Amino acid sequence: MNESGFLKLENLKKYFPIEEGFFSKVVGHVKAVDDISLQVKKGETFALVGESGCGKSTLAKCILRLIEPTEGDIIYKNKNILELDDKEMKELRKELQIVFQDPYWSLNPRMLVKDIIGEPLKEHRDMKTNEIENRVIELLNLMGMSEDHLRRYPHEFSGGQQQRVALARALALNPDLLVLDEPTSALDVSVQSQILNLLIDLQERFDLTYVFISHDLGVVQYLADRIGIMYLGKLVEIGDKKDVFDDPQHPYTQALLSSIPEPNPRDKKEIETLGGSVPDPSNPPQGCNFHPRCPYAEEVCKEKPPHLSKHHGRQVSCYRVDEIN
Amino acid sequence: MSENILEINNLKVQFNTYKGVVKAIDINNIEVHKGETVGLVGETGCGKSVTTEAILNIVPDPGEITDGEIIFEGENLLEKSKKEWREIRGNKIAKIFQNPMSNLNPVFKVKKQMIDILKVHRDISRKEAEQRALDMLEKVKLSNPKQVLNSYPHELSGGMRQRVMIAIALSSDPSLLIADEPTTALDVTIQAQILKLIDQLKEEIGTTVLFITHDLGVIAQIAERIAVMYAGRIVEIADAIEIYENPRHPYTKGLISSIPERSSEDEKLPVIEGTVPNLIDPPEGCRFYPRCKNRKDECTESNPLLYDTGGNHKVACFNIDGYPKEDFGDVE
Repeated sequence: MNESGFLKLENLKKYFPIEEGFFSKVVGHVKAVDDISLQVKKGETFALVGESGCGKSTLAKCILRLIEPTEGDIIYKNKNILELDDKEMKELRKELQIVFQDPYWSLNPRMLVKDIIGEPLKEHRDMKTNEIENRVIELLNLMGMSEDHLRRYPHEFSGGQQQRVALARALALNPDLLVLDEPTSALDVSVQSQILNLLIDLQERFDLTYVFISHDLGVVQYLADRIGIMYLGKLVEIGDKKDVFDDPQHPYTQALLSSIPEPNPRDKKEIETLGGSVPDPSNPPQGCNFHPRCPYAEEVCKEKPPHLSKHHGRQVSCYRVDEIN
Repeated sequence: MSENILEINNLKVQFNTYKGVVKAIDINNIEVHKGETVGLVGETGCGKSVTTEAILNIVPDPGEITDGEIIFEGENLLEKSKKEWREIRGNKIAKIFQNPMSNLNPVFKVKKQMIDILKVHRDISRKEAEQRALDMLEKVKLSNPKQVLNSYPHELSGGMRQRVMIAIALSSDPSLLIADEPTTALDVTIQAQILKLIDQLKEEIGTTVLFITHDLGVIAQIAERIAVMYAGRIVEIADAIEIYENPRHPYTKGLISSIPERSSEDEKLPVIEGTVPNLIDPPEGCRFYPRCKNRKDECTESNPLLYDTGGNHKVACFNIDGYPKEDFGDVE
């Protein structure tokens, strides 16, 4: 298997119908994920960045088929996983795991830690109870926790520890791909840094591939290898982290990066604010989704949507990218 | 030094719960000068929000203020009567909250909510109040103030709602504005707009701002002075640049260095080991002691008070050069 064939999304779409009236007549669609194509290489951290409502979590769930995409292909290790039946899909789930944003909601409050982490083992592996327990202890140690934590409930832990439990559960079956949906947004900075370090360690040890979803550009800058910037269901720019952060090409990426507050009072930048707000996804603008807020918009941008095309070693979806940079 | 608009001394707030008494706040001292923006920064549960509730005397049950004084414009707020509080709360001291949706009434239009509040504090006619409301919405740079005035909160976006909240808070020309995580629920591009707005309006109206946040990036952009809180106590106060470039308390040092943006790529992020203590049974003496790398035995003996190390940089740590020995033994 070559590196680039690890995970490939091709023209992936997820439209949620808007229903109205007694007969639930479909009156429109929210285009949460609209024609997204991207590749994730083995062993890398691919970050999906965007503001709330841009469709990044929907995309994450589509990758694992937690929600069924409307159209398109997801090629994982040269297999189209959208064509697999339930049984095949269950087999594959061992390799694809997810960690959600808020561990408070993703851990069952009535289960003990040993049962939470042991559940995937019980479901997928033919293991005896004491074998499961040993594996759970091993996983807890890996997370920097100890055997003492086995017989406790999630509420007895702090947010950071809860997130470690969620991570341990995701890693129980030795997955290849881990989707991390804002795994540190619910945590404080000092705890966040502990979890980020842990993620980096685990990636090195187990050769994991991460799809990392975040709105926090600081975290992304620290963790990611490549970045995809999303705006209203579409990718506007994909490139290596360094390229995107040092020299953003798409006007939205530029605005997004300039609105991050710099944690240095000497750099009180005259914040270049982007006017307006994200349009209603059920009624997106004609042409380029970003044109109503874009300072460079021209007639062509209002007519038909641009597509990702190669530009300076990355992909950018903008008609005027050459002129504005 | 300029005049203090707010001064908190030895404030203690506790919550009486079934599990025990939570000693949420134990603030030695904090001063806010007229016209400045002070940032109060700390992690979840460190008591930032309870501090603002204490200032407005709205600490929720089962919490109570057990000791201390809060001096606002020269008078102790803790001695005010209910009637006097009506003049202060929402008028002289206004607050904007983290989540505007839960602080705007969903069943009334913006117009009614704004006019009602204006009429509580001022003796003006409906018409004047409406005009004032319209002016305020214009001031917070809403592009179509008339339409916003006739909208219900759910018809507005998150950023617009927060602008409405700011308009309401500033409509009484408060001398102190408390902003409690006003941008946390917003996206970065909208956050940037709101921060800029608060900064501009502060200059225009000449109010003083106490800005509460957990976000070290936001606070660096907006605050002139920063107070760092840990487990209910202020551990360090100094000018913003001083805090970032020359942090002296071990907790502040850890906090500043754990910002991902500030560390170089291939390095591991420095971490503060351990977690925040349980405030029902906080550590004796310095509350940071169990996590501190430089701890000494004497740190558990008493609570380090804020000590001015010069240049208005105050630190609550025994291990600072020149920390006066006689302050030892001041056990609570």
